[in-house]
Amino acid sequence: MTMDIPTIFADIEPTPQDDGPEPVCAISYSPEFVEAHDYLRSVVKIDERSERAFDLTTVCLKLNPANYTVWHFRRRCLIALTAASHASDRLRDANLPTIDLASIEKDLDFADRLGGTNPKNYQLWYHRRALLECLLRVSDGNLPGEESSSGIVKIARKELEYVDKILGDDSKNYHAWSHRQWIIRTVNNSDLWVSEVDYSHSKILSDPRNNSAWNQRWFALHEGQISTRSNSSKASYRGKSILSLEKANDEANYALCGAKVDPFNESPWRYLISVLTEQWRFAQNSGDAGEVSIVSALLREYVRKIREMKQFWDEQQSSGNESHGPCVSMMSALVDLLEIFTNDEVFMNEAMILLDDLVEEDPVRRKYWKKRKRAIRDLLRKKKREPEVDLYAK
Amino acid sequence: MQCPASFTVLLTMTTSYQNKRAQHVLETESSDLQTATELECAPFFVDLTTLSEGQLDHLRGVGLLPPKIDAGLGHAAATRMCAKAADMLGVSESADGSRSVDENDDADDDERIVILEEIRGDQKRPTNNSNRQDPRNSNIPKEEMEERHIPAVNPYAIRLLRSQHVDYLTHSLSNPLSKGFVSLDASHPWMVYWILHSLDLLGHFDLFSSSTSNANANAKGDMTMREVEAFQKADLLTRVVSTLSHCWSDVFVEFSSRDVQGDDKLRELVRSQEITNKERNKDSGDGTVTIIGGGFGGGPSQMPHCAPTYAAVLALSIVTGIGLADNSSGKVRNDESEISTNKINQNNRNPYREAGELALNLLSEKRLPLYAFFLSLRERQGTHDDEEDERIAFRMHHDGEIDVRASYCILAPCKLLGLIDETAPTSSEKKINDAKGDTSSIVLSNPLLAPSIAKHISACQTHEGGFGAEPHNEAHGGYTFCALASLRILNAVEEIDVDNLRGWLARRQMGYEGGFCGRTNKLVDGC
Repeated sequence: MTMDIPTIFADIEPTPQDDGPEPVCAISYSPEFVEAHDYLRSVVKIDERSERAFDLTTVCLKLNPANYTVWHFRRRCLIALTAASHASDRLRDANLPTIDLASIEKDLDFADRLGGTNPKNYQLWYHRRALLECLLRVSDGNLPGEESSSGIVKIARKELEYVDKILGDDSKNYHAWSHRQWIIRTVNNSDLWVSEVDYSHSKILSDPRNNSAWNQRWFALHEGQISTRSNSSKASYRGKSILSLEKANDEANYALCGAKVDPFNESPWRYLISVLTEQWRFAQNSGDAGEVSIVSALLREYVRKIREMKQFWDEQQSSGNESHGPCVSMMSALVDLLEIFTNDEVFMNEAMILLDDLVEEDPVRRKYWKKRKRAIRDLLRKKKREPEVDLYAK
Repeated sequence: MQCPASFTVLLTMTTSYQNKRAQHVLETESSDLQTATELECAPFFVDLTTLSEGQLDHLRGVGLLPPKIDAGLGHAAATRMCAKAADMLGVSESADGSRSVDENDDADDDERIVILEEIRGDQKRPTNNSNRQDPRNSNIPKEEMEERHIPAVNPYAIRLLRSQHVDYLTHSLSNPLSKGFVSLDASHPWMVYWILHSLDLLGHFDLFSSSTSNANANAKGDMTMREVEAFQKADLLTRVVSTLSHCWSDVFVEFSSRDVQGDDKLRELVRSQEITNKERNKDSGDGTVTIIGGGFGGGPSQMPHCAPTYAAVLALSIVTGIGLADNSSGKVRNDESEISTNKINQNNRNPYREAGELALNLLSEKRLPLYAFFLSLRERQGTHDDEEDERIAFRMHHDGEIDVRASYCILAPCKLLGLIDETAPTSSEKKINDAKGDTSSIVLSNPLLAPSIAKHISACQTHEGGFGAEPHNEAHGGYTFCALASLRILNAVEEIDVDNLRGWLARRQMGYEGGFCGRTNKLVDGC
């Protein structure tokens, strides 16, 4: 799109950029860049939110898609250009900005095309959010906080498909995953929460080392409250929702299976430890001895499982077939679990031995492993000095 | 703390352990990328003693190894640790030459970082020209070197090409950037800050006190040359301040009358603006007050934005420090009389003083409008009506994204500008006072210290231990830094799971490459 800017804006005096005398880091702008921005500055100064001003923002954004000021002004134009008939009375009364459907869809498309060269541009993703916020309002006139309707869910699914397309090019694009979270959180529809768990699973299958996918799984299960404990104050830890015991069992199993696929993959181990630790803290916090006992049993079960896995692994390594050597992620996870049982001297000693091994096998982190070992040693010494111990101490 | 401006060299000894390649059982896109990265790094981890002379010459030619030095002619020598980089790396020596040792370490310090000064055996006094071409020449006489028992440097030393970096940086600062840089047209203050900060760390703006023997050894001619250079640098600093000041934009922000009354800074701002802008700052009657706030944008006429504001404030702080700091205490003198009578510097003339004053004046002028702008960026999070659960995040700019970077980009400048006053009661104390039925006087509180701000930041910690941009976003190095730094400023680190964070951080270092990755299963990265 070539715009004959001086002709279209013949009535306006361009405003040159005022960098002051002898600026540092001065960019050698192209003449077309200078022209477009000189006129835009004038237009913004008089706040002319018109069709031609809108078109001028298009030119400027193609030259520099990171100019957040231009994006903001573009949105102001979109709002101003929205025909009054498109805005619902309810929204107008609530004083919320609206943009007509056609313009929204056009601009989502524009943002997509601009994003082709840089899908990591903050302004593009925020523009999508801003447009979608309007769209969610316009499509069925809901005010923020109200329950979602099928129209909204449809819009959400379409946008999620778009994000999936972006993730197809870069499966770990941070903005993309964050955008998915925003959509699902904002629309807050139970079907979408559930399908996001499935989506995470599909991404984990295609690359188990995709940590963003593992993180998304955690997000969907916890924030969707699909399988969390009921939201009473006792059922949360530090204000965050906790998985139900049954779900924790399932997820721990899922994570361990993921770890078995490739024990060197850090993601499933961290997921596993987090699931179990969360249950433990909840149980401690609840003060309920029964709860503590059940969760304790769960954790001990996994200590056993990981020990078994490690034993099998060590045997495989020494037999000589395809030797990878010790698996640090596995050892580290086992230490994290063992360390929870501060009253179990066997576990504590086992942890310390593992930490010695980690110092050898993971030398880049040797100071960290030494510190962990020292902490356990100090704790054990302290216990020897003070035999009166709180049974629930970590 | 002052180093001669001649060539300095960074030396590291090799680590005592073998770096380990990452392992995988299953091949995936992630493991492929990791393997590829390790292969790229591998050539740099070669044992230099195994290379042929020709290969070594090549490395010397490209500057990755020090030049071959004939034993008879001279040697590179270790001097005392100096320069800001050494301080930041924790390897500067105290006055008696001892290094601080981590008490918890069991004699584990096989790595050493030394900053040393390279000299030539031929002690020709450098002319103006040769000084420019061969910055490695310095002026310590050979006899003095021997007297000081300074050991020779390892010929395989890795080195930081300080002067070449300085040249690149100063060139980028003072010369026009190519048109490809338009992608950074909304980030001018960042470019300025990155360059200025690097130059500062490299000691480019260090001054030399007359008490060092080095200066005594110089002939008068060299001193003049240095003075000229210093004034050229001062001019650069002045241009920096001017450029940044042109990135400032005012913006109207609205507050409730009650909020203004309860905030001594907002009240002061309203008062100062009433004189210049009578119409706009009046209480509009419906309980709101309009104030002229502002911030730095990515360039002239661009909206105020937290990120360039952070960069600008820090850059201006650097200039202020360079120009006005007392060299021994590092503190900026606020006393006008001291500044005017030049009592600060041992040299009795700091060429950067004027630039420093310009920077300080700009910061002083913009301090309260910045405060108002920052407050206007607050956003309540979640749908909780429960005040206990209140979380407050910040936007990066009006009509902009919310993420934890904003908290840091706001809190760090506020700390530097003295806008975070720990002695003021927090809002919870304020509540107690109100609850006591004391409605007559409103207790002053600092909204930046509101617990809800720290609450939001800690909500960004994930199960992995690091922090994401928004709650539940994946743990990520950049956001983790912003979150932790913000909590440190707020003295609220205990709100988060520090152990979990520590573990996550420890796992970010790559066993083979040695550098850090930003997220689990991602690649090592410079940033």
